[in-house]
Amino acid sequence: MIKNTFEEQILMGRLPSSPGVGRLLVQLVRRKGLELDEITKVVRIDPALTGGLLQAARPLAPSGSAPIETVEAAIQVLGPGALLRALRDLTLVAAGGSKWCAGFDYSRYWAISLARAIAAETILRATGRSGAEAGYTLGLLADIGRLALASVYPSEYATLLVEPRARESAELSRLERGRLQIDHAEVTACLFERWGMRRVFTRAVLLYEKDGESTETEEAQSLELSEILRCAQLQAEIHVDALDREPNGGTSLAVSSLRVGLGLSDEAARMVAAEVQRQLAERAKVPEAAAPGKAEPKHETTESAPTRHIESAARHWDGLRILVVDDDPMSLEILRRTLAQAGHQVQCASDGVEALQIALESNPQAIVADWMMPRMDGVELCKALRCIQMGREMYFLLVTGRDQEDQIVAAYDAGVDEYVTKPFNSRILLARLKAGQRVMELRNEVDAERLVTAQHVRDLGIANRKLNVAALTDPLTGLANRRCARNKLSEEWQNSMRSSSPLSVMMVDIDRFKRVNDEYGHEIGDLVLNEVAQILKTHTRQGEEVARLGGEEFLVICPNTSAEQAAIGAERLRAAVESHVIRTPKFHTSTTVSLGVAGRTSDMSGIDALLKAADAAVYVAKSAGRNQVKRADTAGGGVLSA
Amino acid sequence: MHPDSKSRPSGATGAIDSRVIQGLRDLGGEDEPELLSELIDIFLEDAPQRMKDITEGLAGGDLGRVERGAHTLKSSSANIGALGLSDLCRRIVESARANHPEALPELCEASVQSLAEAATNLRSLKS
Repeated sequence: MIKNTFEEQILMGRLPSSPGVGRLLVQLVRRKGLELDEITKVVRIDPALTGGLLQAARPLAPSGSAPIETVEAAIQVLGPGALLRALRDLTLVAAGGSKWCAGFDYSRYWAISLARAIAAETILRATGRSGAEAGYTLGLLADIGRLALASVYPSEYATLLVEPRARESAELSRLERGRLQIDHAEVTACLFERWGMRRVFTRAVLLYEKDGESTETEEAQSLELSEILRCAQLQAEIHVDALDREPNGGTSLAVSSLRVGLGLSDEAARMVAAEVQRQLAERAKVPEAAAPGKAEPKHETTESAPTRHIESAARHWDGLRILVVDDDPMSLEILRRTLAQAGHQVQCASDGVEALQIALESNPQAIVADWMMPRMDGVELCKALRCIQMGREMYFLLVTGRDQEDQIVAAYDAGVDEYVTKPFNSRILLARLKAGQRVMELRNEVDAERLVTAQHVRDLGIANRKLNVAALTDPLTGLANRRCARNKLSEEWQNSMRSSSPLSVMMVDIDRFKRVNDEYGHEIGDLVLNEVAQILKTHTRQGEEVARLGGEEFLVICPNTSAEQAAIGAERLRAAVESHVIRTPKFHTSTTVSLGVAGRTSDMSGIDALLKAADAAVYVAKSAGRNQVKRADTAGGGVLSA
Repeated sequence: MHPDSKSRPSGATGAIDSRVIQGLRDLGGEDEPELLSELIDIFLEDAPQRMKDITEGLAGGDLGRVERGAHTLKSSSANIGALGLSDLCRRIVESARANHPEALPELCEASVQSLAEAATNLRSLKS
């Protein structure tokens, strides 16, 4: 299998967080004392921030120590300053904005991620396993690839999501690979590697969505973690989608998944499932975007008269998206009319707290705010917004009374761009906004350039994956080529050394192939090569890799497999080839193969020694009359009969 | 435009400035001729609340509430052209902020009176 790359990840340094998390964090950072514990609690809810912190902490981890796998450990390494820097990159997606992926259910994504994290942690703990804290992180981030694809390819991904079959994870993966040359699980795995997660975690996220596939060649710990993730995912869906409201719906499913997946007794599975649901009910709440107990903020957009609408469309200018904040309804109404009449799109809020919520949700380009307001005044609002990336990009115009002019320096210190005094002169207000608009336009130009660059990075990412495939694939059979086979074998060699697990290879050679070519021509020769390749592919086990080394020679890599087991598999392949009828346009025929099997032994220096041993075994098989399997002698390079 | 000579700023403080009213009429323009009376309605609805903040705040010794109420009423009355009322509110804000409550009862009484007059004048503008 060709290992995919996700070079676009440089574009997604800033994955979006949920608006509720954004609201809480902005409020926490605003408070005087820095409440690290509180901040940590909120960051733990959010996949994007968690991933960002793990990544930031990775280079600082003391070498030789355990990998950093929890937000707490990352913060310990990074210190509070870095935590605040990470929060400054907090990114929110505004509905309908350029980064918004239509059709991607963001709130369900965040809810499922959190629930899966809690469920994974609880399953590990309730079954007496270690590493529950790291398991939480694993659960939280296990599907981060989906969010990454939606963020890097908002419009392309939206077109995939409208397909009805995209609801099925396996089908979605297929669509993703067709369009982007990579699927969400592979993206997750790439990100996990970048964040320095353990290999078993990376394997587990690649496996957990793949149902019912044979996984004999996987390490036990990866398999176990993937089973835990699968159970956690199911419980998360039951919780979030409220499946248990249907009679007998959720609970029995959850219990049987635990029983089958983790080999628990019925009673134990019931207890674990109940504990998970209890924990979920208690903890799995993604904070809401609006403060609880408060009415929905009014989203007043201008309803301009049709004539004016046409006029503005003709000028190709919709004005700025402006949020107006004033606690005095009169002033608010006059401001709204004045700005709407100048062609701007206006939203209204009646104090700073409400304004902050609306601003975080709808990302206005400019804010016109009164200074004196109850709950949160204009300057405080500005300070709060300037804490985060999105808020720093807003043009902030403060409306002040004449009597406050002497304090205006403090307002500029808080990050205000400009001010007008009340009662305001509408011409001056609009002129000041023009200045803001010029700033916006410059920023838009920079953004547009950035977008072009980003598009290049995306195109390059897809093209590189295609090239990668081409460079590592045999064009005739579609199998991995010699280079790919050597890469894969080296990788498996390392794994097998690390985990002291067995590793075997089968060398496969088509018998009397030269005669086929000579007698029937290259076209028929190619056909035979292709047919044999397909037989090998369909008769190998999941996790085994078939490659064409060149000519009529193939290699099968069998991880986690002893030479004895591989020899049994080799015999199966031999019989499959022998019994297969090759139909050509002119005649029907069949062919046979000779196979040499070798397993890794402690005296082998590397993959070349292993390949040489298998090669020698093929030679023996050929000499002994072809169409048979020979196994390399485990002691000293001779050949035993299989 | 108000023809009544009694409503000049030299006389009662509830007078409405005609230039401000004209400005609001212009803001509505031909598209929204009803804007002025809408704004007057908003003011007539909101101003008594603010006045309540001022009087009750004063009675309860809550100068913060007095200041907030007067601050808001100051700008909304200026917006609708009740410049005399706005000026009284400015003085209330200053006294409350400087912690000089002794001037407040008189100012407060004057502003209640001023609001009542302004309200009458504004209602007559609507019809």
